[in-house]
Amino acid sequence: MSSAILRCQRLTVRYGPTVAVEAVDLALTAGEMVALVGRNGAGKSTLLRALAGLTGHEGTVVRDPRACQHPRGEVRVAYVPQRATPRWDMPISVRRAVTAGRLPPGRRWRRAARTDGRVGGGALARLDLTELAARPVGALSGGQAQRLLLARALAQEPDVLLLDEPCDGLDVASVAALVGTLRQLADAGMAVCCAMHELRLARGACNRVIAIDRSVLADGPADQVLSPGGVAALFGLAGAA
Amino acid sequence: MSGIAWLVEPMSYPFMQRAAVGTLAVGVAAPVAGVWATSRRLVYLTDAMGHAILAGVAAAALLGASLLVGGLTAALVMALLVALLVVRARLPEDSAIGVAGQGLFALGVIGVSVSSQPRALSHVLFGNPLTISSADVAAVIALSVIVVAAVAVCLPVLVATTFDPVHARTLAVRTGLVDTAVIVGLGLVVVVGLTTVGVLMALTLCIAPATAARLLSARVTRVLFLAGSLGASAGLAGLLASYHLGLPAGPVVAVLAVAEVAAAVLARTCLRRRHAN
Amino acid sequence: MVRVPEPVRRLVAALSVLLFAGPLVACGRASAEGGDQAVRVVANFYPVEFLARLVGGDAVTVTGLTPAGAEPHDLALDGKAMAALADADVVLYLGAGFQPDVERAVAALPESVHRVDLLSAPGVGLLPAPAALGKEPLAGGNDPHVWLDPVRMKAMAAAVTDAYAAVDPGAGERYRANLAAAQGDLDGLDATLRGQLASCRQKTIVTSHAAFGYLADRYGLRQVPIAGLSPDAEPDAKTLAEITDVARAAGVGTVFFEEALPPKLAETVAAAIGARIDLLAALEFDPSEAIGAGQDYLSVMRANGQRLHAGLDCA
Repeated sequence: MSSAILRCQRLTVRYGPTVAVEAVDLALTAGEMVALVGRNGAGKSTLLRALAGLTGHEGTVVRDPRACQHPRGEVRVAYVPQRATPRWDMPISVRRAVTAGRLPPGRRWRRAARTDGRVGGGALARLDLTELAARPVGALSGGQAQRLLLARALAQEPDVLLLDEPCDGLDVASVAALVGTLRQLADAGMAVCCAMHELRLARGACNRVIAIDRSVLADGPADQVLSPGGVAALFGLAGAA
Repeated sequence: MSGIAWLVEPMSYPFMQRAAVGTLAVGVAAPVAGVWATSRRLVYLTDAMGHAILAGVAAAALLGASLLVGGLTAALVMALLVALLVVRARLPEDSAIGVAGQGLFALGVIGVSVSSQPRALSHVLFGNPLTISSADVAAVIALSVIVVAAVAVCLPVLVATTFDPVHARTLAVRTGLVDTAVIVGLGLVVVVGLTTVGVLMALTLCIAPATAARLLSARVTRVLFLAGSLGASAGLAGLLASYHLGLPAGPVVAVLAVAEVAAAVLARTCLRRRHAN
Repeated sequence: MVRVPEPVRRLVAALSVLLFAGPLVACGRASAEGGDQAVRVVANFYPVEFLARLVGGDAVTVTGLTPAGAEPHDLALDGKAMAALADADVVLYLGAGFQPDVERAVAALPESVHRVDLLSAPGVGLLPAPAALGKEPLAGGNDPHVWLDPVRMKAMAAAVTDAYAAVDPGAGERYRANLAAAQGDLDGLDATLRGQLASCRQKTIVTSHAAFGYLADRYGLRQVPIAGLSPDAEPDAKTLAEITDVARAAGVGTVFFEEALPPKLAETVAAAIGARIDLLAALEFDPSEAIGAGQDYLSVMRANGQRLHAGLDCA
């Protein structure tokens, strides 16, 4: 556990009187691909947003730069929101949307420099978007749009990748391609944590599954957590597996 | 009358020259700001700010303060009120805008009626491009330089926060600050436009050319350039047409700007047809 | 131009009736204790108030309907005004569509209230509304700005006297004596203006709005108004251009603006033809507030005469 890049302790998020996430302890390490599962409203999105620094919370979230595959003195966390979040009718090209990932703190008032162009181009190529780079973002299919969001995250050159339901609404082929890409990224040393519905996917692609319902129900190897007698079954999650 | 004379004759009058420069400046500034209003779903807010600003200008006139500062303050109060009503009272956004805008407008009407010079104030409030002074012309040129420069410098941040504000926050961009800046910028355009070329022309130039430009292109730089050009041409053509037709300038410019949207819809439909065939 | 929409103005007026009318009626009754016998007169705006006081003297209490600074053309009555109307013995106003709201309210008053439309008084011959430059005159429209002609003011003063005498016959002699003095003042003003404007090199007066038709008609001048009969009827660009052309051709050296209107349009025309601007009061408001303490109709009209004398290059 000492090699955790991102670790939270006693993480609790409240929306007014409602407790969305309660006393969550978890740690992500480089090179692993983690599935975050739970029923609708279990707090998956809230937990990811808290880890990404988007939501006020109680408890601690610690980033450890020494645990990164390529230590740079800071841990970069990239967050991929649900596909419905962005304004897809915005008049921008795919390339410009991906380049937004190159907007690091402190330099954000400057235009994309040459490095930014190179990294952005790399991210586009990585997700097979090079041919679509000049397209308006509004003209993309669901799978292409999800790839755009992932490419934008890659343009941030992250150590940790947090994804909120990236497979929702995609066809089978797109899901397979996406999961394959995420797997490769994890194998290359990134810590990937992905909220998902599809338990079959979680079992097939992920080293580790965390089941939550406000707090952590189970955290362990996919086979154990999602086994017919496992904790997830108690909550009706295993039925889908 | 020959085409050249149609263009040149009105410009022999100094007030028409000032009106032309002022209208051109607002015709560039308002659409360039308006692109962000349309992209961020702030069209109704912009419209309602036009009403709310009445309260600020009336209060400023009563207190003897600068009308510009009063109008801008009202725009900010309006934005804060809307945010408060949406976040705290959980009102739907359009209801919040409607309630806040009408409330401030009503206060403004009362303010105008209790001021000692309501007759003079109503003339200050609703500018007329024909009576624009040299100082007004300088103000709208400054406005248009500020708006264009701010958009050019901050384009990446504006794009990132407009396309995906949640993601922009993970990049440590202070989206609240950017949102406020956008609303203040729109407020500035509306206030300056309202007191110089008139409220109708200012509001229409914020919305219509930007809408037309977005129909014609999906590249943000091209949309900004198109919006500015469409706004400036609607302004100038409207001013000249109003001169020759003997009609008030504000409504003619507004009608032309809306006609640009109709033309853009047509052009896009035709292009789609051709692609389909 | 977008103005405060009529429904909104009406709503504000209605609300202020609810809020203020009750207490005001009570106040009115209380203050009437001092002059129990005084005739309660309501006048639609300043020049009529002036006449009402001039003829009535101490025997009447006069309330105006148009608040200082409010647009008299197309006035929306407020609660105070409605309360005053409800309490009046005599109502003096100008018809001819000058203030439609006032005409509506007057029509709704009980039969017992004595009302006089001074525009239809004998001797007040109305002129048709002046046509805007290059436009047809409005069919059937009359110009309401009669008060800027001292001779017509005399005729209106006589009508006011008749109304007072009918309501308060006991004081008839007093009113007639006041009328004689008032007519003397107005005759004096007329003679002064006639003398000042008899031989002017410039006959064209460029004015902020078309308020000076009767003045121009009386003293042989030609009015070129920038805005129409109402100051809200601002000119379009071509009309403005024609006004500057006409003014330049006539050699106009002074463009006149009004006490209660922003001088922007007058400045625009003056700048275009290289003329000065000067005040020419239209007297739509109490000049003791709009111009300076101690000023009234007669002093302001004399000052108008001097400014015209200077601005029109008169001998």
